[in-house]
Amino acid sequence: MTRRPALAALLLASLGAILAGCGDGPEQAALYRAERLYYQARKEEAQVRLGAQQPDSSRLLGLRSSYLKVRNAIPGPIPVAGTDRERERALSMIRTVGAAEVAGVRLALEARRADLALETAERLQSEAAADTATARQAAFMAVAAYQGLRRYDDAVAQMKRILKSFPPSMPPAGGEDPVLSIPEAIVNLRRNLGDETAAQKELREGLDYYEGLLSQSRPPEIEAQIRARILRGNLELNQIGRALEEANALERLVIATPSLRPMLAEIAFAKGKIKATVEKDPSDGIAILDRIATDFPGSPLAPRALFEAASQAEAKGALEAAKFRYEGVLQRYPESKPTAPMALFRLGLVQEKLGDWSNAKATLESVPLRYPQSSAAAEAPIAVIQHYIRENRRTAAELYFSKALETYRTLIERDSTGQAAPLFRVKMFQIYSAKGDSLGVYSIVDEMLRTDPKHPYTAQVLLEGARAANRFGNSSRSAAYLRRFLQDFPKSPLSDAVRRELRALGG
Amino acid sequence: MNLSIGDAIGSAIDSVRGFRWTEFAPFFWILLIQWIFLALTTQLDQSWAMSLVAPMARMVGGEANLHYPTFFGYLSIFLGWMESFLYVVPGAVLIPMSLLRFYRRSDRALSLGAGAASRLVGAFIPTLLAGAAGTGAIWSWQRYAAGYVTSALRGSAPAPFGDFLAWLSVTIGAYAILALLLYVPIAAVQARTNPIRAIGMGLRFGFRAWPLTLMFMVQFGLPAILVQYVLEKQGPFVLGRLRPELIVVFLAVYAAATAVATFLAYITGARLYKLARGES
Repeated sequence: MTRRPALAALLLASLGAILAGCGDGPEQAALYRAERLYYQARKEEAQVRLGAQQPDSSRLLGLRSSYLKVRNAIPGPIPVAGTDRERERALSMIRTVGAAEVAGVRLALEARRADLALETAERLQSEAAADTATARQAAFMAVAAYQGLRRYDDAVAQMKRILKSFPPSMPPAGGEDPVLSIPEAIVNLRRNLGDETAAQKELREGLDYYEGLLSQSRPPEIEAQIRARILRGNLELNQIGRALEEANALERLVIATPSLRPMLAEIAFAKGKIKATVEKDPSDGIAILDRIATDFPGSPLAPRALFEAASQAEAKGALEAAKFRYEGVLQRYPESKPTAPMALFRLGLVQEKLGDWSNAKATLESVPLRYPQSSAAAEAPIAVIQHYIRENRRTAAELYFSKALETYRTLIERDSTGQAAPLFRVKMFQIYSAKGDSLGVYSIVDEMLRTDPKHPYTAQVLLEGARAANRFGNSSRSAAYLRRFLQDFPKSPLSDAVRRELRALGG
Repeated sequence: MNLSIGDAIGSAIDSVRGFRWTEFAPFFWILLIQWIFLALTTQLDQSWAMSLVAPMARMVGGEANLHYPTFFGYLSIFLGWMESFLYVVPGAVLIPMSLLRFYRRSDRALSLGAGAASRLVGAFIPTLLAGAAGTGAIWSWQRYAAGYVTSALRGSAPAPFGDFLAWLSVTIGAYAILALLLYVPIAAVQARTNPIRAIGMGLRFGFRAWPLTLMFMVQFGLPAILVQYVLEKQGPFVLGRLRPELIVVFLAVYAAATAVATFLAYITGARLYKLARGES
């Protein structure tokens, strides 16, 4: 009889010892629960994506909610403190919740719910401060969310915050830390908004940022990438002397570091471009650029080099040579988003200059079909109209208006909130203005106010729309557009002029 | 008396036909602990289950394997270590207990309960040492020798067969080691013996009956070998495409097949041992 209580006590003591030895059971279980929920959400998404049809926005938001359940498993806040094991577990928790929330942001953006994406990204940024990788991801996601919300100034401000908060880190082999590409992203954003002055300013600020990074000693891999960025910036600003200096510095670094050999393409590109620009006979520079596509066919610089060679040849009037190289870009790199659409557009213009109008027209008309979300797609129909105008074929030009309008409408319908959509609407506005079609002009202004209220292109069409309405004799609509301009763009340098214009209308 | 294949086959068939629950029960307790542990692994999102499993998992494989779904990829290794422990340490009591229950059928003294406890105590050390030696030898075989054997066999036949042959050789190698040590507990539960004599007798008989023992052990182990093969070859598919928790079902079936196969192997070995000593 006395043995049974003793046995029970022994068993209880053993169990107690086991449980005491693992006092972190609840935290470890919570992490495990979160990991399982994250795994299940990923699996659910993979299954949905395997389906024949693209998931619609409600399905995407459903998937998002599966990812957001992960947060419920670890309510937080998650302090990173204690023993090594406790700190490591806390970081694992932050990373698991972070990865799930980032996936949630991605899905919200895909479902065109940038508001939800921004809310999550901002929350994650503050909560994941202890884990740099997650906080960085959240910061990048916030940029995408701001852009999705058309809050471009906020997007730029956020990108600048990233530059201040996160120094560039060691890139993966053959890759680049995304932080280093932010200044370029800011410049491109300004350009897409049609603000070339701001783009140039950002380009200079970007150069200052890169040069500031070089004031500290960095591993050769990062230093080379920073120098490559400075080189590109100088080339873009046409600062040939500084670009050449930077190319030589980069070359010395690359020669001293065998793992950086692929960057020889960057140096060759810069030297080829400089030679082709500076020298009277561009053929040596063009030959260097041509060689990049042969020597480094897999480099992202290869299509750019071929395009640059074509542009240089075109600028010097060597149209056949230019045509050959534009065709080369399209044959070898048809999927190169930054280069191929413009190569096709330029090919059309070169064919026109060579007197082959029927092929030129076919080429220009193929641009919106092959690359519907590019700025080249917006320029191509206008190029056809301009050809007819240059040839004094006004009737043909006017007949082409409706075809161009139809092209733009189709492009907008394919992706009405896409980045190029405001540009397509501006082109439609220009055509309606040229046609003297008041209803068309008003419909585009109203559409842009609805879809892209804070977009710089909207400011532009509001002003031009006001002037067009005045010409059409509709002064009340003209005044309404001007008032809306002052309301939506109060910081615009044109505000004073607009107020005067409004007073003149008696508004 | 010399043993023939017919003796081995006959003993194996008799073991299956004469299956008795009371004799299997000690192996079932080992199986039950494995099943309880496997059930616990499906509840690791609960604090109490994690509190019980985490210390063991950390001891065997470190912190890195305590994550989902990695844990299920590592579970078969974890269970392998647990199985070794259970068959060696509690097995040093439970295996002789099962054998004594079998011998009770023909041993009048045992059936009356006389001497059973002292024979059980006497069998503990030899069984424990044989189990530990077997585990150590299998670990060494898999770690040091199996690599050479598999690379030699992989090259000897075209792709799927070569791989299968290599895998089979590693598995059969482990069975071959166990076949040599199978008779130590059997010799240890005999009357009027001592630990040193039991180990000597058991090993001597193990060498003598080695081919026959290997034959019936593999025969009984076939279901477990099959499940193990499926698990090793399809494990990544189950983990990645199906539910990781399905690994637990496979392992539960594997543990059951192993428990039954081990029990039948010991009982057949005990029959053969008796036969060789002319006691049947």
